Amino acid sequence: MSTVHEKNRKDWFDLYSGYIILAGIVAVVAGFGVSRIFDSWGFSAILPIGIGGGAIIGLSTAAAVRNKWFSTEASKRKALVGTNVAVMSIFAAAIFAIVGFLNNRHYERFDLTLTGKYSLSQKTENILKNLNKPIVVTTLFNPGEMFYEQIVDILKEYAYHTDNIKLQTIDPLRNRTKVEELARRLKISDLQLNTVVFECGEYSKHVQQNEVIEREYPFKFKGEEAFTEAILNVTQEKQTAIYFVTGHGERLFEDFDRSGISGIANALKRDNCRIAPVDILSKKKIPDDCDILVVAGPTKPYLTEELNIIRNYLEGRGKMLLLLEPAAPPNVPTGFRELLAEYGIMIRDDVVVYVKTKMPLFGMQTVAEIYVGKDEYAEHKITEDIKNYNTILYGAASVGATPPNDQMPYQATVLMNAPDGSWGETDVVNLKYIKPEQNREEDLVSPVPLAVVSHVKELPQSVLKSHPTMATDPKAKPQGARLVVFGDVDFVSNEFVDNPGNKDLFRNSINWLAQKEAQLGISAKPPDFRKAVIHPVQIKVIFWTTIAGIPVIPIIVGSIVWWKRRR
Amino acid sequence: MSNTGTIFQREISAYFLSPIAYVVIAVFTVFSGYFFSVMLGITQETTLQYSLAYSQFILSILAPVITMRLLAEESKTGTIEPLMTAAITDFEVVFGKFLAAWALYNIMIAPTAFYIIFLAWVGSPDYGTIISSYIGLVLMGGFFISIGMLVSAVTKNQIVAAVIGIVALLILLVIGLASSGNEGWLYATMRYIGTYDHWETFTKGIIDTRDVVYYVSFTALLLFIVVRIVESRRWR
Repeated sequence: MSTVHEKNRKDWFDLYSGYIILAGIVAVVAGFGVSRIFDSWGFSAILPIGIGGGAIIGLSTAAAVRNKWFSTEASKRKALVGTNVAVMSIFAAAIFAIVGFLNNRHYERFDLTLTGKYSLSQKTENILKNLNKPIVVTTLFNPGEMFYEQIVDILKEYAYHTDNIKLQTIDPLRNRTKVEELARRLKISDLQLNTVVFECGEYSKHVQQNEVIEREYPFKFKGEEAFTEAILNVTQEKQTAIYFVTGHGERLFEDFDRSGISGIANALKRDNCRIAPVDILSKKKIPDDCDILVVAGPTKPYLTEELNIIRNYLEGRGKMLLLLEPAAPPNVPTGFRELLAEYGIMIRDDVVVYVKTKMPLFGMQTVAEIYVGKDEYAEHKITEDIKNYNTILYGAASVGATPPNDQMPYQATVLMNAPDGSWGETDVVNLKYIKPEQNREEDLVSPVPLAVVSHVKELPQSVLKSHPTMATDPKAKPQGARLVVFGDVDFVSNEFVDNPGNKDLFRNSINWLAQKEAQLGISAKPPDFRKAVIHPVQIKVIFWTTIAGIPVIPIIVGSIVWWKRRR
Repeated sequence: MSNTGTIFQREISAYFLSPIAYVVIAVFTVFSGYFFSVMLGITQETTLQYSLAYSQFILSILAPVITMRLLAEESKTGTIEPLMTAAITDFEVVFGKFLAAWALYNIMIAPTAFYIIFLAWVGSPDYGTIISSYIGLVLMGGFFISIGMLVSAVTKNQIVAAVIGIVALLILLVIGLASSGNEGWLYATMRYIGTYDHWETFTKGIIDTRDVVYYVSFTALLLFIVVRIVESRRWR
């Protein structure tokens, strides 16, 4: 009986132990897979690994004992030699792993490309050399996006030059959890995709795809300029403090409705700005840390006391962005007219009318939207990057610049005009009831300015000629207030801010006011695609030579060798 | 001549006195030529980057074909026994065979130098990128050959050795591709072990010591294991 029982047990082990070990391996792999899918070592991962691992070890040991692997001299030697090979291999692999680990921390990169495609400028290298704070750089790009590879490659070059930059990539389409986690950490409600996020402590800066690519064809890559500027921004001790005035019906940055400006506020936060509201009347002053004061579409007049506070702020080299609306309800001016006149800026109580299309049966139709395109932007640092994009304004007032005046220390210049054929309609009261007609005597005729900037005049050429060093000395340059005034606020409201040029026009204005306009001078790199000019005959020659001409040589030589050896 | 040189000469002769070298070279040049001319026609760019990226698949298949007979055949036919008893170290045997296979690999990729002439004919290629690509190809070749030798050392059947070698190289290629764009230690390890990222850097014109060390150290590790396996046969 016992012999039969023993035989049955042996049969069972021999028949099924191999399958059980195989199942154990599958369980271990499955458990490991589960842990990676759910990104945790929970019960569902540990259990199969435990059971599978136990089965593999237990049955392997039992098999070794049953089959007497270590009992005879020959099997003992075989097992020892096998163990020796395994132990030495593991030892060598450990050395290999250590070498790999050390090499990953201390490495050199050599850019062999003719144009130095992956090399950074000396300016950037110096900035990175002096970097003493850790920065986390996160790319939030869909890998299929234009210039994605070049963006990642140049960021690797940044990481190569300093240990203070940690690079990580998140595929936003495959890893939403990490995107949401990042948004929570940055305290930003709408994290834009296809951006590179630079984080340093509590500061962060988002570089968007359109800032990395020069928009005119052929596209140029200006990632280095954008990324180096971002590093400088996040490592600055001080964020740009922007105060939004409240109390006169201004648009609110906490307002997420269509008319609110929460979208643009988020964009400013992404640019490492700190934003806060300010009620001038109750505070009786503009906060001392205010870098830029924003007045976003007031609908009620400012008191003289408030205007004086703003005047004092501007006289102390303050910076202000003013977004006006057509005087609505009519004849209720905001009170800024006199204040702005001191800076060479003229505001009018009109509405810019833009004749856009000729409709069949209805004739020429006036529309509220004003499309500002390439030809309408003036030459200025604020507009130079956005000329290929339209800015769309919705119901704007005209804002002009007074002619140059020797008595005035400030110089105002027009930033953009409405398209030809537009006019500043002064009959605002009846605009809702009758079709507007241009009255050349009362209305402002084309060109109709829509935005103006004003800053202190530059040093006269005669002074610069006699003192050339003053031209390059930043301290010698005259300092003063800076103002940007738009005749519209709707273009930055949540409803319209995503139009192609709107957000960038606003952000560029803020950067100009904060004197953060790109001064790095790192030029954009051409793409270096090295295009070939191939004639149809050439491609035929290349095709047949490569797939038939070259391969035939080894075939001929091989045939000769074979033929000779055959004889 | 040193023992390694003797083994090298014996193996390289064996390659070129049998059809295997010519078939391998012909197959590789047909496929790489096809990828080169098609990619040049599509992209109109004077670069080898795209065609070489495809060639990696072909090399993953052909490298184990080069190495499949190196040790497996000797084990099967019994010719490894005289080698084991000769006054020659295991390292010399393994290294001589490795050099021979690597030499054949480099001879196999040499005809692609003609492509540079074609590129210069239709445009102005970036020679820096081409040089770094070839450095990468040669280093990657050593790595592929060492994997093939390891497989050949643990099997007695040439076909089995070739198939396992091809599967192993394709797995290394796939895990590199699959881990791209993912975060975490597991993916980072996969990315490091996989061949894709390391090779891609060379094709862009960058020589990164991490990639050089990866190929060289992996090749050395695998050859070390092969030597230990061959050595263990003396004692069985």
